[in-house]
Amino acid sequence: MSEPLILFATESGNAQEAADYLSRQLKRISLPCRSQNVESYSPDELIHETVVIFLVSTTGSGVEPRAMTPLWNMLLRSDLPADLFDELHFAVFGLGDSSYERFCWAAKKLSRRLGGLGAIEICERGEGDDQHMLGTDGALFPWTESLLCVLAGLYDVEPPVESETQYTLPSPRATLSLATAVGPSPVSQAKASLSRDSTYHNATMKTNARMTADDWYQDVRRFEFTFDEDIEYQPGDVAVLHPLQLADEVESFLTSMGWGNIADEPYSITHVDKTQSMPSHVPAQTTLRELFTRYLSFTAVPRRAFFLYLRHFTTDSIERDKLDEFLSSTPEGAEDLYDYVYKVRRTIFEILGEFHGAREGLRDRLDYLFDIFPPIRPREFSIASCAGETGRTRQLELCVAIVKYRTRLRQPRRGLCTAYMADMKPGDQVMIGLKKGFIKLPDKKDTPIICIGPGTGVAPMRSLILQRISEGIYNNTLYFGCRSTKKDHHFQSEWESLAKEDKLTYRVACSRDGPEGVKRTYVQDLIEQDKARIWELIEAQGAWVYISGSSNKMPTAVKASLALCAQECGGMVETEAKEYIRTMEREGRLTEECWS
Amino acid sequence: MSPIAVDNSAIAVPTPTKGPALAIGSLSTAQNGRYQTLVTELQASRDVEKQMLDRIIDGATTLPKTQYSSVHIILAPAEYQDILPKSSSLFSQLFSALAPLGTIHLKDAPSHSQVTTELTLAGFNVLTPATTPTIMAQRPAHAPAVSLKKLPLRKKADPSAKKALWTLSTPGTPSIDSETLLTESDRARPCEPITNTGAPRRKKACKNCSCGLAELEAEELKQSKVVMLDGSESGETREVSQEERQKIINSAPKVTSSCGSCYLGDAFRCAGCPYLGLPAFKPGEKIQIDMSMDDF
Repeated sequence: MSEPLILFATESGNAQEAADYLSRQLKRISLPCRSQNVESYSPDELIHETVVIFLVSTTGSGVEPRAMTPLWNMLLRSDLPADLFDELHFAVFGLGDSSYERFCWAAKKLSRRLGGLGAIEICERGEGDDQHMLGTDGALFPWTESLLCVLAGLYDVEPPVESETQYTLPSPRATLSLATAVGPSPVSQAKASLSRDSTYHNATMKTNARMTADDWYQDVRRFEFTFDEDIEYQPGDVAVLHPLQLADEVESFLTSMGWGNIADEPYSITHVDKTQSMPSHVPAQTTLRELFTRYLSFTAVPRRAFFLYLRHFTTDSIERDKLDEFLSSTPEGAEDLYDYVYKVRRTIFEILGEFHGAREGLRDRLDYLFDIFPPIRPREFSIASCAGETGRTRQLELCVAIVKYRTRLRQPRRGLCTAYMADMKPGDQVMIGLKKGFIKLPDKKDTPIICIGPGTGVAPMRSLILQRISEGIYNNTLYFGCRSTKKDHHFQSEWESLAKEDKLTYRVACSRDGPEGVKRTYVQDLIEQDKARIWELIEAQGAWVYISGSSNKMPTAVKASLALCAQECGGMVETEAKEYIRTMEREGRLTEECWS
Repeated sequence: MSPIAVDNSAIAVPTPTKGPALAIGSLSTAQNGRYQTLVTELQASRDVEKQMLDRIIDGATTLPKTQYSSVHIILAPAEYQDILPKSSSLFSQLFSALAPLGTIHLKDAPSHSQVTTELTLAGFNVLTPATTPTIMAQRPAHAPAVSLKKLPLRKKADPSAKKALWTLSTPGTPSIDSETLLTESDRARPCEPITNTGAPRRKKACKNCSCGLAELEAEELKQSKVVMLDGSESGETREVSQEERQKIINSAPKVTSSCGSCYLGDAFRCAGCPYLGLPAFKPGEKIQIDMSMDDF
């Protein structure tokens, strides 16, 4: 097969949306292509490909997305000849966040390895950075322009003539038609669609309790769910929730779009363009109300590509001029778009409230819904409870910070999923999926563990520690960090009583409880204070170390303090100590699970 | 990575570049004066280096790398036909002589798609349709890593041997340490996150302005017409003079807008608009700006 293959490896869906964009742009040079998730791609096939464009996101610790691991392990085998892929042409675009230490490492390693196996890199590697004004899109669209020209040369087709904005509207990825026969109710269809996926289980909410003090700025909740069947999970695993858009918001959105009177009509949905993705679990028949409650997001902050569609649909010339400004490839265009959308986290709903012409134009184009509105993404939360000695249980706990913040816009910004969860009441039902996380217990049961989990980073640590205690293993150490012991000291009484029973060594850093003007104490400071003990655990007893929580400066600072232990107690020089920590990570003895 | 994009629109010329230009002519365009006209035109706005086509093709001169912001070629139509067989090496020389995002202009080139194809194969991004009298192309920000040939129609080797090497895995085969694949520059993060271009934008005059901007604004205001938003009438806007505006404001305080865009929403509001952050509203609707909005 010689047509180019777009192969994407995604964790949260960004690389998939980038793949959708790229395959639409390939239409500008009339080049047919295939687009596939690496999850469903057989690695054996790679040897037969002619041109592959990889879109690879990076997980926090610089590791490839989990779905890519089988392919990646095959590529890393040391017995592959250096000319194995000398007939493969490839290009790599990485998606990452330069606030993480290992920015785009998965993509960088892939391009180096393929090069080392003789493959021909046809376009300089692109690197999308979440810290860019336009996010990863900032680098994606110029990279795509370069790639199109290269591909046009390779395949001997005309280079793109029309620009991105002038290119005719691509055909929609799906069709929507009024259903003739009335099927089962849309809600039951939605549930059936998720429960066919065996990783999902029906859960009932048991507890929804605020953990932080009522007068504290941050709202952190403990959620408890029960199940009517046994479920299995390991410490470090994550729970996947599909949020619902709140009913009154859906109603006001549908009304504003002029879809109020057709909101409950049944529509049949057919996925037509297979190079474009559809939200997962969409049933074949549903209503607009269901679509915007469960599958399509109107409260997301849109990608740049959204504005390309608006430009096609608007009936108003002032709007078109404005959109051309936003989409222009000049720095000013990027800056205007950043100021208007990304800086203030403006939602699609809010934008359509200002682009009346686009809203008019959209009204009768239901077939483009899946192109314009991004999927509501499931959210993942580290499980905070353990399944106990048997590994089977009917309960699960989460410890979640409710996302709410302000920007220049008058309306506060809310996280879709956490707003939905905060709004749930005991007795409410929800489908919860279970998925492997990056954290796992040590290979040998009695290996000591050192957990560093400030804030809600404590969730997976609680799972690890409770599991070990249930198995009678007590050499556990936890470093917890918060701002104030009276306000956000999660699970305080639980940790303190476990410490009293000698099942846990518990250390807590409350950064804001000290007097004004005195240096604040963080988890890394406690580790330095405890350096002799830490070094003894790590070096003599082979302890495993886990770091979880916010991805800002904390993980780097903690690793620096661990290296300091190696220097001061292990007699290493700085470079040796750093290499020692790196080796621990490589061997899986030090794991990070951090998020931004 | 540079946020500068390749402007790929069909007609629009990329931001005019005023860096050094290279003007290439031939014996015939030098004799009929067209080459000199081109050079004079270019010299008005930038430094120009002159070259004759023959010397480049014959290798009598070596062009510096990533030197020029633009390359301008002017030949007689027939001469374009003559160089086609040698254009591949010519274009790749010119490609490397151009700075990234630099442009190449071929004046009076015949509408021959082979020229554009050769430009593309040399790595250029062709900006104009093949039918215009001047073909323009750009060196992309990302250079292709290798010089590309068209794809061979058929793979050369018997695929089964490679397939066996790839798919047959001996248990216990060690893996290479993937971290050793990275170079020092791979390990480094981008130095500074690209959050803002820092391009100067026009600011509003300060309260005690002493730089003259306040006077400038005052003058502009005096000259300007005002658009009144009036929902109680027809919902339409109308232009009035400053004098009339005061009268209207005094008699019936309403939402006023000197640009007529305030009610459209943030996308259409200016940088100093008092309504920034508020949703769009209907003309004439009474808007209250709540200054005590913090609910933390």
